[in-house]
Amino acid sequence: MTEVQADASRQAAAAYLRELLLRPGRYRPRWEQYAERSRSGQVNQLAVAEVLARHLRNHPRTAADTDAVARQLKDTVFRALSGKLLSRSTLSLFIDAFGFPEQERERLWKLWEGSSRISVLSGPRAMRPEAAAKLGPARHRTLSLHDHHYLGPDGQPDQHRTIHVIEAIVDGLDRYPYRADTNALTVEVGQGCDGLVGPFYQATEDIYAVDILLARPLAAGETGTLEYWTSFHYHAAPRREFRRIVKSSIENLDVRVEFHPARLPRSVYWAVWDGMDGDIVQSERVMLDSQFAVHRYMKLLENTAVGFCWDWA
Amino acid sequence: MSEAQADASRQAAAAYLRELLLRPGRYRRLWEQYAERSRPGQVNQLAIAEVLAHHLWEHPRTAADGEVLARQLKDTVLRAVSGRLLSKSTLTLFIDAFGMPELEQERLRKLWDGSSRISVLSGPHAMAPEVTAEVVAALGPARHQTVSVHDHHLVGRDGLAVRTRTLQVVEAIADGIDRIPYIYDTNALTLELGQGCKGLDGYLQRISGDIYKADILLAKPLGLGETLTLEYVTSFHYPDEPEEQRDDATRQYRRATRRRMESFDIRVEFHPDKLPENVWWAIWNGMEGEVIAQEEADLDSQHAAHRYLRSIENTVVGFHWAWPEGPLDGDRASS
Repeated sequence: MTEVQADASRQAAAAYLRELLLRPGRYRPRWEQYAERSRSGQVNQLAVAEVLARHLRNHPRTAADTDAVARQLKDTVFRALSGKLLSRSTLSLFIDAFGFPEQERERLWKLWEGSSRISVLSGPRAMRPEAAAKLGPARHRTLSLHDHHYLGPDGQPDQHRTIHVIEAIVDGLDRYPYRADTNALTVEVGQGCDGLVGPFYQATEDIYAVDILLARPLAAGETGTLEYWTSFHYHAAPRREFRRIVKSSIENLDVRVEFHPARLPRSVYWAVWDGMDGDIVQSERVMLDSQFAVHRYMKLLENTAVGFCWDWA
Repeated sequence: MSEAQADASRQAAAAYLRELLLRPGRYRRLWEQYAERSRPGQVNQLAIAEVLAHHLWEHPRTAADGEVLARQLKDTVLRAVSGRLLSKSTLTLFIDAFGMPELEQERLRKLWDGSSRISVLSGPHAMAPEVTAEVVAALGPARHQTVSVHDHHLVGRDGLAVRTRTLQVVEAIADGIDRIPYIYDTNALTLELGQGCKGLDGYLQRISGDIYKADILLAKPLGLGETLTLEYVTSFHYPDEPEEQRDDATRQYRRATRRRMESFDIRVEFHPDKLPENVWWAIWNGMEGEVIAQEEADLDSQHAAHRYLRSIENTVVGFHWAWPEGPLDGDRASS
C-alpha cells in the first residue's frame, strides 16, 4: 500500500469512527455524559478523551495508564477523529473504551487496513464554502440513496432514477430540496412524493433547485422513502461523468451507471473529485457487468464528490 | 392500549431483554460469573438473580433490599424473562443492575410502553428451530450479506397482494459469488428479474415445509468484499375465493430474516379503492408465531405505510392490516 493509500485508509476509518460517535444511540451517550456542552454534528473531544481515560484507568495497558486523565488524551482524540493520525493502538483504544460490537470493529479495522471495498469517504470537499452557505442548513439527513443513471444510444444521459430514504432532523419536514448543476432536466416524482413546488430556481451560481413535496410531513426522527426520475435535455454534450455531490453526509450510497449496448465506453473509472467544480483527485478503473453497468456502494460519505467518469471508444 | 396489546408489549420487552442477556458480551458475562453451569440458548435465572441482588445491596431501594438474597429474586427473574410478568420496576432493576446503555434502555422502555421507533431490531427468532436447521442445511454457510434492501409491496383493488419490488445491495463475503438464494414462503409467485440479475437457476424448490428457494444468478461474479445492486419483482397468485375465506397471510406483508440485514426499508401501498381500516407495524415471534409487539401506522397521501430500520437480524417484521367491515369498497365502486 502506498503512503497516499494508507492515508486514505486512515481517513476513512477516522470518518467512520466519527460517524459512530456522532450517531444517536449507544456510543454518543457514553461521551455526552462528560460533555459540558454538545454541538450538533460535532464530537466533544474532551468528553471522548474522558471515556478513553476512564477506560485506561480501569484497564491499564501500561503503569502510567492508571493515572490517565482526559486532558492528556485530548490531542490523541483530536488527531484520531480528524484523521490526521489514527494509529493502530489508538483505534484499538477507541474500540475497547466504547465497546464497539464485532461488526463495527471489523469494519473499522478493514477500513484502517485499506482492505474494505465498502468504503467510507470523507472529503476533500463538496463545494465552495460560499455556495454551501447559500444552500442553508440541512433539514434532513440521507439514510440510503440509490443513484441509477442510464445513458442512451447516443451516449447522452437519458434518465436518472433515485430512491432515497431521508430522516427528518427538524419537526414538520414537508419537502425535500432536489438540486442539480443544470436546469435542462425534468423531474418526475413517484412514491413518497406529492409533487413539485413551482419551477426550478437558481439556488447558487451553479446549482438549480426545486422542492419535492413529501407524501406526509415528517416529525424529527421520522423517515420517508422517495422515488423520483430525472430526464435530461442538454443543448450541448455534458461532461462524460455522473458525479454525486455530498454536502454534509450520506449513508448507504449505491451508484450505478448503465450504458446502452449501442454505445459502450472504452473505459470507465470510479472517481473522487475535488468538489463539484474541481478536478479528479483519485480514480480507479472499473469493469462493466453483463448488463453494461458499473456500480459502487459506499457505507458513508461526507463532504465530497464521487461518481463514475468514462471515455468513449 | 388494550390488555392484549399491553401483554404483547411486555412480551416484546421480555423477549428483547432475554436476547440481550443471552447475546455474547457484557451482560452475559455479568450473570455467567455466578452460574455454576450455562446451557446454550438459556439464561440461568439464579445467576441473573445474583446480579440483581448484588445491585440491590449496593443501591437499595428499600430497607429490605440491603439483605435481599438471590433466591428471593429468582421467581421475579423467571416471570420477567419469560414475559409472564415484567413490571416497570422490574425492568428498571434489570436496566440498572446490568448497566444497560441509553440505547438499550430506550428500546426496552419503548417496547414495554408499546410504542417505538426502533431503528435496530434483533428479534427473538425468525423461524422455528427445526425449520432453521432445514433452511441452514439447504443453504449452507452464508456467502453474501445484505447491506441495503428496499421491500416495496403493492396491495391491489381486490385487497390481495399484487407485487413486491425489491432493491437489494449485496456484499460478497466469499470469493467468486455468482448467485444469491431467493427464499419465499410460497411458490405461488412469479419472479421478474431486473438490474444486477442475469437469470434464475432453476425453479423454486421446497427446502422445508412451506419454504421455497431458487438461486438468482448475478450480472457479474463478485470477489470478496465486492458489492452489487439487484432489483427484482415478485408477483403473487391467489386462489379465487371470497374475502371472508382468506387467511391472515393475505392481510400482512412481512420480512423474515435470520441473518443481519442492514439499511432495511419496507413500504406497503394500498389501492385507493380498497383502503384498510387500520394498519400496524409489527414484530412477530417467528414466521409461525404471533405478533409480539405492534403499533398503529399512518398512511401517507399515497395510501402507503413505511418503516426504515438500520438493521434487522433474526426476526420477522412488517405490516398487517384490517379491512373495514361490510361489502368490498371495490364492489361498491363497480355496482
